[in-house]
This record gives sequence, C-alpha cells and structure tokens, in this order.
Amino acid sequence: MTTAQPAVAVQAPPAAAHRRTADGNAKYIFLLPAMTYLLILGVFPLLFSLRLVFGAWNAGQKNITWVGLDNIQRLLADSRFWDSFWKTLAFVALAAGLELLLGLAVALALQNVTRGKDWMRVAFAFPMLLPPIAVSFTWKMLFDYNRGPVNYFLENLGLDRVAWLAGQQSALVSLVVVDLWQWTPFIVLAALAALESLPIELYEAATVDGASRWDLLWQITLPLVQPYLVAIVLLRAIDAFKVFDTIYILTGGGPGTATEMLTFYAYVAGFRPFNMGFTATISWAIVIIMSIIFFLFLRAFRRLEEA
Amino acid sequence: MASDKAFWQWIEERAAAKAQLKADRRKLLKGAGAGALLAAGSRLAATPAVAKQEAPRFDGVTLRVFTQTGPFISGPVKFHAPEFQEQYGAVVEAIEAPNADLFARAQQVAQTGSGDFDILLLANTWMPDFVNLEYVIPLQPLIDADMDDELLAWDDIPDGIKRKNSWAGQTYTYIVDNDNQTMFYRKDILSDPQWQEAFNAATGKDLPNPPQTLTDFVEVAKFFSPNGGGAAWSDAGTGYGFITCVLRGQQSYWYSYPWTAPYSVLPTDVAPDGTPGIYIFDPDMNPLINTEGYVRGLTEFVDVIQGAMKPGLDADRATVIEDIINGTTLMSLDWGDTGPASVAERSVVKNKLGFAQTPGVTEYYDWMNKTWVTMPEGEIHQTPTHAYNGWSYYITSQTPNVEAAWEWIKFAGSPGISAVDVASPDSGYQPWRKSHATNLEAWLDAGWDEAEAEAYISTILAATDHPNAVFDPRLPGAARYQETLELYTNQAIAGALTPQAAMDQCFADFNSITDELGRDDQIAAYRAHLGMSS
Amino acid sequence: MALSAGRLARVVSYAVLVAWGLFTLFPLYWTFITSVKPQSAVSAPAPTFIPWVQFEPTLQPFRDIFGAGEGYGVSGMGDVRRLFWNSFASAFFSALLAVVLGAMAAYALSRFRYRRWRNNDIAFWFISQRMMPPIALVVPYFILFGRVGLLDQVPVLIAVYTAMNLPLVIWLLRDYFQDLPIEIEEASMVDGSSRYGAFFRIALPLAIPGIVVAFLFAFVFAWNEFLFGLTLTIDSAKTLPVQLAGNVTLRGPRYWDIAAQGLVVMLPPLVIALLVGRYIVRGLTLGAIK
Repeated sequence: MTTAQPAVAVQAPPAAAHRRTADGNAKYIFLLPAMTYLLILGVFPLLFSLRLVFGAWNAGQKNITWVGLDNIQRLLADSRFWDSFWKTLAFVALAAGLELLLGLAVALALQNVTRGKDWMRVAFAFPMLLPPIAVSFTWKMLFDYNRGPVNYFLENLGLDRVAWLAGQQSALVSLVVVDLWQWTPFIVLAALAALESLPIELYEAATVDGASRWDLLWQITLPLVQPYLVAIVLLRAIDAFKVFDTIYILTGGGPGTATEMLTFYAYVAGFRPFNMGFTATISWAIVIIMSIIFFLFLRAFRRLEEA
Repeated sequence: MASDKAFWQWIEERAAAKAQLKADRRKLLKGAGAGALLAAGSRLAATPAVAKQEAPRFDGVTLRVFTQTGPFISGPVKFHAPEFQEQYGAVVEAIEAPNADLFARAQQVAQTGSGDFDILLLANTWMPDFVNLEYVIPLQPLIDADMDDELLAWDDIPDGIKRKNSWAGQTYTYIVDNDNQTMFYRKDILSDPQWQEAFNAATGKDLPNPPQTLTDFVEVAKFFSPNGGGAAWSDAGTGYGFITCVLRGQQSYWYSYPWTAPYSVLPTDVAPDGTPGIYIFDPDMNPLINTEGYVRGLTEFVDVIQGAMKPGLDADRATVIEDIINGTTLMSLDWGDTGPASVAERSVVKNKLGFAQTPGVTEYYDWMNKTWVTMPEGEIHQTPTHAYNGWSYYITSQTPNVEAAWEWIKFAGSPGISAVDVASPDSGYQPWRKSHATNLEAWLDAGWDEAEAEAYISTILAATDHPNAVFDPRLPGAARYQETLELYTNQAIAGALTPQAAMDQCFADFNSITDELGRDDQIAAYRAHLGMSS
Repeated sequence: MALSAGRLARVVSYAVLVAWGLFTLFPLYWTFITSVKPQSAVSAPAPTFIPWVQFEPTLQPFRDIFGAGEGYGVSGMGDVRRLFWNSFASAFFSALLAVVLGAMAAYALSRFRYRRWRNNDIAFWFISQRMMPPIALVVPYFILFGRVGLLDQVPVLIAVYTAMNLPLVIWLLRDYFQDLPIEIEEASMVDGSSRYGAFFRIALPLAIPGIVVAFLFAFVFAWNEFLFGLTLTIDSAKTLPVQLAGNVTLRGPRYWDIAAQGLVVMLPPLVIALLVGRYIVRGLTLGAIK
C-alpha cells in the first residue's frame, strides 16, 4: 500500500512537472521583456519627472534647482489652467459623445445594407490612418472663412458664414469636427464588430414573436452592445484627452486661449518657453486627472454591468 | 597684340555673361529659372582677371545655419550656398524648424549642447538670451579686422541697423533683413477726385493722401468699407479699408505696434536722457502696456478691425499681403513684404501702391508725468516701429569654424548679393543697406518702375534712421514677454476682454515674469537695449 | 408592414452611408485638387472644385517638394529623402520591435497563469499604459536623452515609438492568441517540445494574420506621430509630420505647397489602407470585441 502510493505520486507529475519547469522560465522570459521595456521607458521617466515637479529648469539655467511646492502652487492658482481643464472636459465629452452617436448610426446602416459593405468599410477607415497633422491642415483649408468650401456651401444653402477658426465657441466646434472626421471610423468599426457578434437566433426568435424593427433595435441590439460601446467610448475619450496636433495646426490655441486643451497648454506655457519644471507639473496634473476620470468611468461601468 | 586681344576677349566674355545674368535674373525674380541664374552667376565669377583677392578656402568645412522652415528666410541661404561653396569651399546647410518653436529649439540646443549649429539666422530680439546662455560670440572683433573689406562694406550700413545689431555696447548680430512697419495704401484711389468728393460729402473733411494720423487712418479705412458706404472703390470684389493679422500664433500682436507706439512712446527730445524708443517698458522695467496711451492705441486697433476689416477674424500674414495685392483692401500697416509682392504676376496693384511711414498722432501720453500732451499745431508725433527688428545672423560659441562662418555672413550680406535678395518677393528680406536705394538693377528686373522702387526703398530706410524709431525690446526672456503680450492682445481683438482689462492682466503677468527672471538683471538688460547708461 | 419598414430602413441606411461617405472623402478630394491648383486659384476669393473646367491643374507644388522649385529654386520641404527615411525607419523598426515584444507578452498572458499578479491585472496594467499622455513623457525624455547626447537620433525615436505602440499591440494580440486553439500546442508539448518550440512552430505561424495587422497599426501610428518627433528631434532625425507642421510660418500657410506636402505625408498610410485595409479592418473589429 504505502509503496504503491509513492509510485503513483511519482508517476503523475512528470508530464505536469515537465511543463511546469519548462513553463517556469518561459513564463517570465515571454512576459518580462515587454514589461521591463515599458517600465524603463514609461514608468521610470514618469517618476523621474516628479523631480521636476518640485524643481525648476528654466531658460539660462545650467542645472535643475529645487523649488519645493512653487510649481504646484502656481498651477493651482493659474486660472488659465483651470479654464483649460474645463475646456478639455467639454471637448472630450462632446467629441466622444458625438462620435458614439454617429459611429453607431453608420455601423447600423452598414449592417443593414448588402452591397458594397466591404469596400465601404475600408474607405471609411481611411481617416483613422492619416497623420493628424496632415488632416488638420486639410481642415484648416476647408474652414477658411473667405475661401474655404465649408462656408461656400453654407452660403449657397442660404446660411450665414461661420468664423470657424476665429470665434470663441466655433473654434472649439471646429476641433470637434476634425476629431469627429478622423476618429468616428474607430467607433464604426468597433460597433460593427460588436453588432456582428450578436447571435442571430435572438433576432429570429424575436421576429417570430412579432417584434418590429424598431423594437429589435431598442430592446435587443442596443442593450446587448452597450458594454462593448462603453469600453470603446472610454478608449476614445482617453485618446481625445491627448489632442495636440490638431490644435497646433488649426488654431494655435486661439482665439485668445479658446482652444487651449491641456496638452497644448502644457506645451505652450511650459515647454516652449523652456519652463521644464512647470511643464512637468502640468503633465502630472494631466496624468492624475486622466486616471481619476478613467477609474470613475470604470466604476460606473462595472456597476452598470452588474445591474 | 596678343594681350590686347585677350583683354578684349575677356571684356566680351564678361559682357556676355553679364547680359545672360541679367536675363536669368529676370527669370528668377519672376519665379523660374533659378538654375540658369546660378550658372550665369558662376560664369561671371569664374571669369579670370577679376581684381578681387583670392577668397580663403575652407574645404571640408560644413556650416550649419539654423533658421525657420522655408521657403522664406531660409530660401536665400540654400540658394546662395552653392556659389559660396564654389568660391570658399565650405558647404552651407540650412537646418529648419517651425517658426513658433524656433526660440525653444535654439534654447534647447544651447542648454543641452545637442545639435551643432554654427550660425543662427533668428530674431534680433533674442540676443540677450543667447548672450546670457553664452551661446553667441561678439562680432565686433571680426568687424574691426575687416573694416576695409568691400564685402562687409561697413559704411554702407545705416546707423539704425548698427544700433539694432548691438546690445550692451557690443555687436552680436548681423541683420540681413530690415524689419519695420510701413503704411501701404492705394494711392490711385486716394488721389482720385471722385473718391475725394465722396469722402468729403460723407465726412466733411478732406481725404488725406495718405492719412497722417491714426485717427484719420481709422476714418478713411471705415469709409472705404461696406459699413462706410465707400466699398465700391474696389473692382475686385467688396472693398475693405484695412487688413491686419489677427490670428493667434501668427504674430498678431506685432501688428498692434504701429497703433500703440505713437500714443505711448515719448518723443526723443522729451524722453529721459534723450533716449529714443522707450516702449512697452519704462527704464525701470515697469510695464507701460496698461497706460492710457497704450490702451488707447489698442482700442483704436480693435476698433478699426471691427469696423473696416473683412469679417472672419482669421487673417494671417499671408492674407495681409494677398488682400492688398488682389485689390480688395485699401490700406495696411505691415512689414515690407507687400512691396515686392505687389509686382508679382498675380498682383493687380502694380504701380498703384503708395508707401509712407505709419501714421502718427497729434497727442500722446506722457507716462512720466501721467498726462496727455498735445503736439503743436500742424506737427505729428511719429514713431516708426521696428517690429521684430529683423532676421539676424549670429555666430554660435559652439562652432569650430568661426572664420568660415564670418565669411559666409559677409558673403550673404554683401552689397551685391543682398541687393538681389531684398528685391525678390520670395526671400522675405527687406532693404537694409544704403546702397539698396541706388542698386536698383534687381528691382527693375523684377518689374518695378524706377521711381516706385526708389519710393519703396527710401521709405523703409527712412524708418530705420528716424529719430523716434522704436526698436523691439531686446530682453532676456523676450520670447516669454512676446508670448504673453500676444495672448492678451489677441484676447482684446477677439473681444474676450476689453483692451484695458487685457492689458491690466498683461501688466501682472509681465511683472511676474520680470520678478522671476530677476528684476535688477532685467533693468540692466533693458537699459542696455535702449543704450542708456545703467 | 414589415417589408416596407425593411425597405425604408434600407433607404435610410443608404442615405446615411452616402452622406457619411461624402463627408469622409470630400476633404481628401479637396486636398488633392488644392495640390494641383495654381497659386491664383488657391488665393481666389471663391473656391473652385473641378479641374480643367474651373482651373488649369499644375504639378508645380510637387516639383517644388522634390527640388525643382520656383523662386529660389529651393524646396519648402527640406531634404525629402532623409525625411522619408527617418519616418520610415522609425515606424518600421519600432513596429517590428513592438510586435516581437508584444507577441511574446500576449502569448504569455493568454497561455500562462500567473499567481502573484492575476493575468487580467497584468493585461490591465499593459493597457493602462496607453492612457499615459505623451506630454508627461516629453520632459523626462528630453532631459534623459539630452543628458547622454541622444537627442535627434532615429534609434531614440524607434525606442520611444515602440513604447508608445506596445500596449496596443499587446491588446490586439492577446485576444488573437486567446482565440487560437490551445490543443495543438498542448499536443506538441506532450510530444516533448518545449514551450518555446510550441510558440515558434505552432502558435506564431497561426497568429501571423493578427501579427501583421498589429504591425501595420503600429507602423501607421508611429508614422503619424508628432509630439515626440517635435520635441526630440532637431534636424537629422526629423520626421515628415514635423517638417509638414513647419509650414505654419511667418507668412501664413501656402496652401498649394501644404496640400502637396500633406498628400506626400499621407501617402504611405493611404497605400497601406488600400492594399491591406480589408485585413486591418477585420483585425481591428476582431480585437475590438473583447
């Protein structure tokens, strides 16, 4: 009895033990390079920049000096920063929200047609792949007050010309339009994927039960894709926070400071005048803000899922 | 005799080469055939027995010139580089960066030691920052050693330019582009009796040709715009009286200089120590931008934008030039580029533009005594503004090729070469040498009438040596002050703040920048800029 | 009732798609015709739309870019060949490195169970790196690379872009590997192959489509990148978007040049989209579901 057990105990492990030891190293060798890479080039520099949050490296200085809480105090007291914060929130909400609606609409439309679906999907995906700098120049031309086609079309439709790049609010709208043009395809593709993953049996069953198309849409489709959509919108919102290239080209932050979003504000008020400490402070503020929003969103999302 | 024959042959060859050069230059200035010009130029230079000393050779040397992304400003560098290489052996490269990031980039390079620029072709106002970073070397020793060099032609350089090139008693830059602001106006319209009558009927005053004061200027501009009733003057579309740059990041605040300076700058004979051009700051670094005078100028600027300019508020520098030469705008106060552009092919205003100093004022604000001063009857207080001062060459302290760099600067700024550059609408350079007023060959080739060209060039040069000339302040942190002023001027233009409110905020920001950089150091630097003793 | 509702739905759908298609493609069309318009047509008060009918097209802006320019005969686009090389090298090699590191990590996350940190948490950490705003890294990169004299070098761009793309690559590939049937690998390992063998001989070849998609995405995003290019390069490592952005100059945008230069910069992503767009779309949609 006692001799038989050890025999069994010894026999079963070899295959498993072999895999475990083989895996043992592989587990780390596969994972660690990527992780180390991101630690070195992502986390470490971020922590290094903490030194600059409490320090200063300005024009004419040779070395980094210590200034304690000065940068933070300056930032918190800076109304331009807080303006930028609210503007960025507004921009992100507007952009992500509109992209969601439009993207979903286009995806639903795509699902509904039979001809040309494939090449339409590819054509619609173009904007996502183009350099934002080039896209911004294109829209700068389109939005030109006197010579741009957008105002030309508006006039021909009997509407007033809009000062796209020069009005306080319209400049923000212009940014949203450009972002919309470039990134709605992202939502379209994701929504399309989600829609196509829905089991067709549900629809068949519902139609048999006498549901109309409208019912199908509202009662089945939308609730089922909602979790996917929330995740996608969250991703899009995070990216929208980082908007920079478009502002650089389209408005330069103007008129006045109307389109100074957070990243651009950090660049133009901190990096360009060689105020490295202040730039680091603003950057850390951005990281904190984004993290808070991200986690808030996640919490709401999880709660939604449980409901 | 053989030598005679050779001599006459040489004369013939040079004449032929010169004629070819002229023809090619004409093509160049019309925008084509650059390669031919190059070939012709080198043919001219290569003909033997020219009584010029052998140029020093710098074979194997590469000179890196840091400047803005072309084609303007950096274009001439790249264009003249091959000729320089042929004569001197050194290769000249242009390293470009977006205009808005030029200063940041130069500073990064200066402080981190990365990048290896030999020569800078940048704003004159950044001189003190570069000096404080020990990034540029004084040019006076090089100038002194070459006083007789005909390429340098020291006496050909006006005093105003020499003053702009120096700070704290030392010469650090070599300007190749004279940046000041001029009034451009349609002299054909303003001298037209029909419009003179119409203006008189509408306002009861005589139509000034051109307006001499800012107030008159505003009135004329408003009249010739849709709201004033006189917009039909333009046969290219709806006419407007005025155009300026209002887009943020496009140097809009420099366009406010001609408006704010006359009201806030004291005449030289009244100013402390007889110092000209005390502008934006007083000699103790107290900002003057929120004084009554400056704010009044800014208010008039905002007023004329709203009342006499085409709607849209998105005009940038190109628009300011284009709208004059496409015949839809009557007047502008701008850097000189509109002049050469007026003879470009697409221009419809060739020989119709008048050039004058920017308008003055009949009363100015005395910030010392805090009171308004009225000029005597018939006199006008004029203060030509030198916004940006001019693109200037610096030699960096990091370069191992000081001699070669200096030879390039002399070459690029020599009377012959610079005369060609300032006549071309594609260079971005304005006339700065005295000889530019007389060396009109390139201008005629470009399509100017001789009288027109003379009028244009002399206006630019007159602004340079004007007794009340206002230079752009050269201060450490100039880029930061400029950006702040731009932000608030832009907000005033956009209507987000009233001019007074905007300038009050600017006042606070300026003071915090000054305190941050060290008030005493700033005061000393500013006095150095003004040429005052500390 | 159901039939006409269906037809109505289809009509509406087509209308939506046509409108969206026009909205998407018109800006590209505008860029194209602006690049072949003569200067006078671009500066004209009213926009024109149809070549040959409303204006005479010209290829001069493209000639300008490649060196045979007007005026001073110089291109506004600098050393085009070097710019192209910088953009291409930084995009290609960073995408390659990202895919190598990312495929391994994705495979690990989908095959191994980690006990100290849960798989999902590790995956989450990777993906959260995507949240890192680039501006937060600009200053430390600038200082750290600057201190060792590595500013303005293409390898630095490669390193930075790899870090930028790694989270996305891992996200895409993890799902892909999770979809691959595990049995074949298990079988081969029972037969004595190591984990590495299973990975290289079985999993990797099966995952090629997903890897190619991830590679192309990484390439395109690195090609389009601007902020790091702007702050970490001076001249010799400058990329195309940075050069293009320099066109916001003193004298205002020269749209004829800019449109042509913009097209040139947009070309590789467009070509990629045209050639393999179908697979990218499929890959993205597959990855997006999870």
